[in-house]
This record gives sequence, structure tokens and C-alpha cells, in this order.
Amino acid sequence: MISETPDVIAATGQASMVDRLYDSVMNIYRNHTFRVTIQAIITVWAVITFTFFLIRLMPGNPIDVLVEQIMVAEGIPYQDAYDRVAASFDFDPDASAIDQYFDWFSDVLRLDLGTSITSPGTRVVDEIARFLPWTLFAVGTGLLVSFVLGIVLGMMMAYYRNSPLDHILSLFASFMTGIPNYIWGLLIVIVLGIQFNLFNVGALRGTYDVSTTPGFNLPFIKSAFEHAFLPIVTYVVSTLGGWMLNMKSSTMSVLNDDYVNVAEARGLKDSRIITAYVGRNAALPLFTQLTISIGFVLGSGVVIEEIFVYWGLGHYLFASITTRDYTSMQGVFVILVITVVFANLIADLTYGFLDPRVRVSGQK
Amino acid sequence: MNKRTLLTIAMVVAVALLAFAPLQAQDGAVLNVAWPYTVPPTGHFNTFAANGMVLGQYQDLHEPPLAVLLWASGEYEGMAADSFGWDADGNYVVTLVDGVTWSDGSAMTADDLMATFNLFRLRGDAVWASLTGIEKVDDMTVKFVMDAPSSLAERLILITNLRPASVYGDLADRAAMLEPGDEWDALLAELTEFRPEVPVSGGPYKIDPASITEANLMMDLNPGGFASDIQNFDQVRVWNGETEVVTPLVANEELWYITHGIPPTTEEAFSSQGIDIVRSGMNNGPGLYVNFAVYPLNLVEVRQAIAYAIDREQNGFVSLGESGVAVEYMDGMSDGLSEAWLSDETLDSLNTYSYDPDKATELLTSVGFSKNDDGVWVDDQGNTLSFELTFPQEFADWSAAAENVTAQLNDFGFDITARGVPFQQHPQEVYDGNFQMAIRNWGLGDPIPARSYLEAYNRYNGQGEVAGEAGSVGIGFDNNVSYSGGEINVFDVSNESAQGVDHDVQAALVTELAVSYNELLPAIPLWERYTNNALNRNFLSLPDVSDPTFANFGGGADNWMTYFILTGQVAPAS
Amino acid sequence: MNQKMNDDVVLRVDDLSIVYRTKRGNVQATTDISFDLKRGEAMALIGESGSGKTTVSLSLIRKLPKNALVTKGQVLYQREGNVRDVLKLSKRQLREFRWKDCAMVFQGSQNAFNPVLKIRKQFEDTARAHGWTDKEAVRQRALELLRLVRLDPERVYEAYPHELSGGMKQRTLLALGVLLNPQVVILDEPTTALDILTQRAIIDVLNDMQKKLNFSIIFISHDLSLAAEMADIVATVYAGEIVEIGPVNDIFYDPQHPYTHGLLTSVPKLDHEQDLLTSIKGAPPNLITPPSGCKFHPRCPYVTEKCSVDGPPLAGDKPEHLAACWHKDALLKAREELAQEVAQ
Repeated sequence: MISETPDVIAATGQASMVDRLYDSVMNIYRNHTFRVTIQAIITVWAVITFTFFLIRLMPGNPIDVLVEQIMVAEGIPYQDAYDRVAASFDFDPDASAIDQYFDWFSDVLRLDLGTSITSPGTRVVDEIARFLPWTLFAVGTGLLVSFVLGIVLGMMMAYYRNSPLDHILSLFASFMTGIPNYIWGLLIVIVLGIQFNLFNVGALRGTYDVSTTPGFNLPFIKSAFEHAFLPIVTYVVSTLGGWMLNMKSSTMSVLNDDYVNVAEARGLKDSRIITAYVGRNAALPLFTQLTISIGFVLGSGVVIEEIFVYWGLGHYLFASITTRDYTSMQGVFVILVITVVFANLIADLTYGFLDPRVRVSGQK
Repeated sequence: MNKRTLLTIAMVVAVALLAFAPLQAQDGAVLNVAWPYTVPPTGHFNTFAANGMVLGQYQDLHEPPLAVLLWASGEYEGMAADSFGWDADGNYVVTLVDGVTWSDGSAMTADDLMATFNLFRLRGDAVWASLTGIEKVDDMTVKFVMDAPSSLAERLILITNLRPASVYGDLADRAAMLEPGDEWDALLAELTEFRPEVPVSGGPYKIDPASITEANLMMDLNPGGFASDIQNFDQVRVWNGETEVVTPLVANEELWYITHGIPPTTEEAFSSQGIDIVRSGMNNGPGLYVNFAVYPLNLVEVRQAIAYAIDREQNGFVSLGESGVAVEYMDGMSDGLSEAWLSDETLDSLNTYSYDPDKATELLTSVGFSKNDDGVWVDDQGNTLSFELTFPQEFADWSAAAENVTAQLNDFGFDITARGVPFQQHPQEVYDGNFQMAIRNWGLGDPIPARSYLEAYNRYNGQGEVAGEAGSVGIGFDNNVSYSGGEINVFDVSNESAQGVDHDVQAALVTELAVSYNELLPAIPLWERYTNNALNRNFLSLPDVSDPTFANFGGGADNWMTYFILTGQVAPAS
Repeated sequence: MNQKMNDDVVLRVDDLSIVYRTKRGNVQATTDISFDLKRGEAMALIGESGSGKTTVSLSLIRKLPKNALVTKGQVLYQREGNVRDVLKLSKRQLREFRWKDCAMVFQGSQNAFNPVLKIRKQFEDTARAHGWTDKEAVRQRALELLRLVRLDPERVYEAYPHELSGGMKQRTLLALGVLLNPQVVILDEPTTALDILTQRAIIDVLNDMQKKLNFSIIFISHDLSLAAEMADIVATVYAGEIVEIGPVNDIFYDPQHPYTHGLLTSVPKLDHEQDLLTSIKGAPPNLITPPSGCKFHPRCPYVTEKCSVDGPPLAGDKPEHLAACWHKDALLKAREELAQEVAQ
């Protein structure tokens, strides 16, 4: 790129030098990609290894937990329950964690996440494939809606700063971010569902209506959106305030930038200034936060998915932890870690397309 | 685009989001109940394996039980079993009812019963501790061969839910010929990993696999199935989920009956809505366990003093409201079982340890303890009575019980600190003897009194870590006891009391257990847990609560609700 | 003044008074500013910071901050015989007026470009906003202008702003400023924050461009040497008023107002001894409660009682050179004494 100031048109002889410069820059760029990818893989490995041993340090084991459950449910003595559970689980509480780790990890390298302990014979991959899409759907839609709304509202707050609109929206935003998402979930069910009877609590549970056929057809898509509606609203409500406040302060700082002022003096239309000069520039820093928040929302979705009985990966993780199903837990962690690390990696590698300034510094 | 346009767009988006208001209608003759289950692929239709779609007590609706015990009378009423009883040789003989077909079209016969018990044997179910073999007598009859008759074996046979041979027959036939070994283990693994494609029902309703969501599943009427001709509903909807998930549904009247334990505040809300709360004793509850290796907790006077120093009524009420009922007889069984099995004379002789701090003071003084200047008791070796009390922190009712016990004993002059422990870890700490005082359960939700003593004498006393493998310390109570009635081994006596079929002999042994427990207090029962099932009679018509069947709490078997359904006594409210 | 303007006048500012409403009170930012700008003429507004020169320049394109209020006056542009008051344009007319009739190159043009858009995009945006949608034509014109400001046109046109140096950006902005062939270009401190060589280059470019494109320039500066090189007319602004206005040579060699004189003697000139410089005592006045009479009187070395009572009118012997002072004679005498000192 242009690093120095050629005051006059470059002589033709210099073109090859520029090409060479370009090539070497591209090499560094490739190296950068290579390097961050390697870092991401090492991060994934380190985290899943760490969690492997961490979850084995958790109190209790799958057998004890199910024994307790069966005793209560069926009123049978400890020994009967224990014998039955121990017979049906392929799990030895005394096996060495190191040996288990190497067995498990060599399976993972072959893309095999093993079978569930508490549901012998069920492949963890199948379970994740059952639950993950719904979480991605609800969390993805929720984040997208909240991000877009947050950007629009945040810009409005900045444009009308110190107006009553700004004060109301700011109050609203701080209020929304101050309340954890599970409280929102409960409020929605209890206040809107039960007190005001705005919707049928039970009918909206689950991920879709079983009378529809999964696939690309309108009834199914409609029912998928209906069932995901409340979780999505919760994700939106609980994250919207953050985007609004961030976007407001980001927009305000952009509005103070000279180029916005100059753009107005250049007689550009407001729509062009709002989108290409203010909106785009103010939203740039928020994209990084978006990738970070994917991890957060996936994690905090556990409780939301329980409250609305919208079972996705969060519920599956919660159930696996409760029953101490080590293999299932590990499977989820592998997926979560990969999702978060690679979301960040992709954000890192693609941010340059959004912000040309980074394209250069990223190469150096 | 000016600012007003921007505002307008934002408003339109917001309104569009809000306008997305989905609603749905209810359908006709559907019975709405609840039981937590796991959806496929984790959940499945192999009812022998963990995570199978058993549906708890509602298993009775698709895999009918042989019989139901009516707790109030102590009599069994046959269900899938037409006749049942002991033969002259002390073997048990069961004949199935005629004319029932499974939902896959096969007839319900002795083969189903054989298959079920052969797989119980493979799985290592407790009933096979009493059985030496099973024989098919004729198409509808099976003989259970055993060395000596026992009422425990009878019960374990009769509460069995029947499984279809058409599904499990192949595995069962192979299991019947095996003895423990590698092949056995391989077949056991095959059984647990077996996944029937569709659920096959022999009861009045069958699970519709296509209807299963994480919200609920539908069971359709199963023509030809047991008791299907006397049903008043076309379908049963089983809502999925734990207490916090089903509570809003009950409040919304979408769900009419739950067996989930609910907190007292929810009870109040339901009651004010006109929803009944039905209570039956569960034969168990939380008790205060002490570590006998910690002096002076091993002194019987100290344990008795603790029993006197706790107001159990208060403890039960603060923990679970009206469903936390103080234990009266303090003999290791529920009061219901005590009254059923013990003579009036014995009952009168039992020490009820009614709340009496003076009596407690007297007992501690009698072993040389005294209070120091701070008002804390000091033992005869000069140490204050300072202990740590642990409890499973996730269990709200037990946590409340632990906090209240701590407060009451500290008022009396103990110095106790309560500490919550994750529920998965807490029993392990007790098994390992790694505790001073702990809240764990006493009793068992089973009508056979011997089983109530297993918690104190077996599970928490040296057997807990891996059942049958000695070595862990537990509470460190010596099962060889000496009491006013002589010297006995309480664990042996409790096992004996479930053997044979002579009620008088069993009662005599139970009396020994009750009296010795009452004197020695190996653990201090606090209160008995009663169910607080929410039942909405605005939608459900079923017998009045005065019906003796309501005594059938039945965790797994003998549940009153499934009994009423199987006998056609539940109908939509008019 | 009347609406009739000579054909060669492109901009007439007439009795312009602007106040800023602040929490502490109204700030009288400009008072009765009047001047004419002729086609092809360059006019410098000089004064200390806070004197109101930037307020004047912003009002020329009606880009004043929200709390500013024009209490009096007109800003008239004449193009092809039509006279329009910028202060009375509708929002839409104003938008179309900006940059097409009057472009403003702001102070700190280092950040004048949107950092995430290519220079090409920003030229195209500007053109399209004024109805010029032929991208190829825009490109040809832009390349021509970039060449005129002595940049490598192809490369700069496809570059992102951060790929350009400060001087390159300033020159690019100048090129962008004249893209639509405006009659008036306002330059606010066009050379601050640039090194001396770049400043030099910019001045050359500006002179060159003005010659070729024949637009009028108003530039705001506290740098008198720049004014001396570029301006035809110089106006000294003090406390929101024009205290002296006149042709550049008259102002530099025959300043009639003590403030102008003070500014001139503050300029480091290489051909004079540094120790002869006299700076103006005191600080610019508080414009919420401005001094009575002549606003300069608290700082003026020639002050008399009259100065604090009556404000002097803007007047002079020559019609093109006016100054607002009661004591031009005293200043003349002082200047002669100073000249003798220097001579000795």
C-alpha cells in the first residue's frame, strides 16, 4: 500500500517494486492468518483439556446422582438402586482420569465425541445435533435483532442527546441491562403469560409444533418462530440496553469527529451521513463485542432455555451437569469452545473488511 | 432520510415485533398430567435402560403393573395379574388376565412376564435375591421359584410393570441361559444400548412418538390394552419438566395434576385459586445424623438430649409448611407404619421425645456436662459442644430444616455452624465419615417397614460408598446393639423382618427394631415428608379425598392417581 | 445596505450579529460584521482565538453550533445575477447550496475524511449529493484536480485516508473543495498542524488553483505571514467586530488600529530583531459582559476616557481602508518612533 508520499505519478519502472512490496505484504498477511489459526487451535485444545479434568473434580459421579434420583422416584433402597444403575452404566468411578483423557482425546481427533454415560448407546454427536440448531437459531436471531435495534436506538439517542427521548431511552436501557436475563424470562412468563394471559404458557413451549413437518415450508418456519419468540424476546430485552448505550457513546464520539461535520458541509444527504459516515463508523467497535457476546449468550442461555422449555444446547449442558454425564458435558464444551474461539478468529480475520485501518496494522 | 424517518422506522420495527402474538387453542377430552422426561435421542423407548421413556408413575398407563397394594387395607388388587398367590411349595404363582393385546397386536401372555423377569435378572434387580428361577406354567401363568417365601419377594413381583416379549423377547431368551461372565456383561451392554423404534404399550394409553417435544408428549387411547375400555379420556398429555417449569402451567390451568413437591408459598397461591392440595405420608423425611467417631455424639444421652432440644413441629413447618409433619414415635419408621405394625402397648411405651429443654439439660448434666460463662455446653472433657452441621444446599426444604435445627440447638446452648454442600457431594462426605452432623434422609417410600431402616443401618453405615463393599466408615454406628430387649444385630433383624409371610413373626421383629431405635436414636428423625400434590378438580372428576386409596402415596408403584385411572375412576369434570 | 450588488461581488455580509446562548449568559460572538468579497479575491480574517472569526466563517455556510442565534444581518451570495440570503434558505436549498456555492476546508483537515471510505467514494458521495451521478465524469474531474494539487491522482483516488500523509490529505481536501466549482472557498487555518515545507507547498497550490479556477477565498488565520502571501484584502477581527479592513499592503504597512498593529508586531519576522516585538497586553474580553465603548480599550496603550464611553465607527480616509479607532494619530506617532528605534 502507499506508505510514502509519491508527489508525482510513479515512474513506470517503479511498478515492479510496488508489486514485490505487495507480494511480501501478502505473505505476512498469510502468516498472520496462519499464526492466529494455530493460536486458536491451541486455545481450543488447552481449554477442552482443562475442562476435561475440571469436570472430573466436580463432586459426585453419574452413578450416585441417578441412584439418588431412582430412590426418590421409586422408593427403593439404596443398594437396589445402586446395583441397577451400576449394571447399566459403562462407567467405572475408579478409572484413572489420565487414561480416560487419552482415550477420549484420540476419539475427539477422529471427530467422535463418544457416547452418553447416562443414556448408554446414544452418541453425543447425535444429541448435540439435536439441540444445537435451536440454540443457534434463537440466540442468533435474538442477537441480530437486538444488535440492529440497539444500533438504531443508540444512534437516535445520540442524535437527540439530552432530549426527553434520550433521557427515557437511557433510563430504559440502563434498567434493561441491570436486570439479568433469567429475571426477564420469569417476568415474561409470570406477568405476561399468567397475570395478563397474553399467551398460552404451555403452547409456546418446545421448539416447534409437531403437527408441522420440519423443512423449508411456511407452517414449520412459522411455528419455529412462534416457539422461539419468547426466548428471542428475552435475549433481545436483556442485551438491547447494552447495545443502545454502547452505540450511543460510540455515535456521540463519531458525531464529534471532523469528517461528519465536513460531510454536512459537503452538502451530503442526511441519510447518507447517518448510514455511511455515522452509523457504519460508530458500529464498528460493536462488531468485536458482538462476537464476544455470542459466547456469553450461549452460556447464559442455560436458564432461559429451562424457563421457556425451549431446549437447546444450554438445556443439554444443564442436564448433563446435573446428571454428571461427563462425556456429554465434554462434548458440549468442545462445541462451545470451538464456537467461541473460532467466532473470535473469524471476527479477527474479517474485521479488516469492515475497517480498512485494521487491514494495514493487521499485516504488520 | 431525516431523523423523523429514522424514528418512524424504529417504531415500525418495535410494533412488528410486538404484533407477533401467537396463540393456540386447547382440545377436547385430554387428561393433563406431568412427569419430567428426556427427549430423544437421549430419551428413548427402552424402559429397562436409564433415560427410557418410563414416565415415572405413568408407566402404569403403558406398561401395566401386575397388582396394586391398597396401603390402607394392606391388600393387593390385581391389575394385569388375574390371580396371584403362594403355592404349597412356597413358590409364587401369577396368572395374567386374558384378552389383553399390546399395541403391536401381540397378545399379553406368560411370555411377556418371563421376558420381563429374565431381563430383571440380567440387570441385577433386587427381586432376584429371593428368586432361584422362573417357570412358565401355561400360556398365562408363571411360577416364581424361591427357597423360602417372603413378603418382600411378593411385593417386588407384584409391583412389576409388564414389558412386551415382542420387543424384548430375543434379549430375554438369551439372558435366560447365561450366567455372570463376559458374555453376560456384553449382553447387559446390549440391553442398555437397545433402542426400540416405537414404544409398545399394553396399558390403556400408548405414547405417540411423533408428539414428543420438550414441552409435552401425547399418549393416545390404546384399544385392546389393559383397562382401555373403561377410560374417560381420549388422550393423556404428559407435560415435561421440574417444579419451576410446571408451576406456571398449573396456575394457568393447563395442567391439572402434579406430583412435584412445591414450596408452601406456591401451595397458598394454588389454594387461593381453588386448586386442591392432596397430602399423603411419604414414609421418609430428613433426619439429623451424627458421626459416632466424634465425642461426645456417640453418647446416647447426648443424642437423646438433642432430640429433646428440637421442636420438630416448628422445624417441619418452617421447612415445608403443612407437608412437613413432625415425627411422633421416633422409632425409625413413619408414624403410619408404626401404627400399622406395632401394638398399642408398644406404641405407648415409645419415648416421643416431645420438645423439652429441661429434660435435655437434665440428660447432659447427668453425664457431667455443664454450661460455661457464655452459656455454651462444655462436655466432661472440657470441650464445648461445637459442631459443624452439613446439608445438601440445593434442597430447599432440607436447607431450611438444617438452618432451623442449628438455630434451635444454639438457643439451647450448643455451638453449631451450618454449612451447605453440593447435593452430589454431600452423601459422599457422609459415606466417608467426613462430617460431624449432617441432614440426610431417614425411612423409605415403601410399605415394608424393614426397608425404612436401611438408610440408617446400611446406606449411611459403612455400606454406602459401593453397596456391598465394606470399608467406608459412614456414621460409625455399631449395628450390634444392646437395648432394654436384649442384644441384637439391627441390620440382620431388619433383613429378617421382610422374610417369610407370617405377619405376626414379622411384627415381632419390627417391634424389636422400633424399640431399639427409639432408645438408641442412631439418627434423629425430624419430620415426615407429605406429598403436596396439586389437583385441579375444576377439570378432573375423581373420588373424594376421604377415599382410603389416597393413603397410597406410592413413589413408583401403587400411586393413587394411576390406580384411579386404571380403574376408570377419573373423568373430565362436567 | 441595499440588495443591489455590483456584478463582481460574490458574497456580501451585512450587519451580521450572532450570539451564543450559554448557561452563564449570552455571548455576543459577532457584532455588525459587514464586508464584500469580489470574484477572484482572497480575503483573510485574522485575529486571536475567540475573536469570532471562526463564527463568521461558519455562518457563511450556516453551519453554526445549535446554540448560536443570528440576531441581525444577512449573508448574501450572488451567482449569475441571483442574490440569495443563506440564512433564509430552506433545509433542502441549504444542503444544495453547501459545497456547490461555497466549500469550506476546515481546520484540522487531517480527520476531514471518513476513515473507512476510499477517497473515490468520498468524491462520488459529494458529487452525487449534488445530482452529479456520472461516476466516470466525477473521476476525470477528480483526477484532474488531484493532479492540480500535485498528487499522484490514480493512487490517491483509490486510497483510504489513513494511507495518505497529513499534507496529502490537506491537498486532497482542497481538491475535493473545488470539485463542484464553488464561487467561494473558505479555508479555516489551512496550514496549521503541517510542517513548514508542506505549508509552503499548500500555499503554492492554493495560489496556483485560484489562478486557474478563479474562485474567491476567505481564509481564517492567526498567521499573518500567510495572510500577507495570499490575501488581497485583510480584515482584523477583535471581540466579534471587524476593527480594521483594507488591502493587504495598507494593512501591513499602514495599520490604523492599535490591535492590528499589535498583531503585526507579534509576528516573528526574520528581517527584524526578535527583542523588538511587542505583544498585546492582557487577554481578549469576556463577551458575555463586553467592555463599554471601544471593546479594545482595556488593552489599548492609547486609551483615553472617550474610548470607554463611545465605540468608534469603522471609518477611514481611503474608502477601501477602514479602521475603528479614535486615536489613529497617536498610533501613527508611535509607529514612527518605533521605526526610528529600529533604524538606529
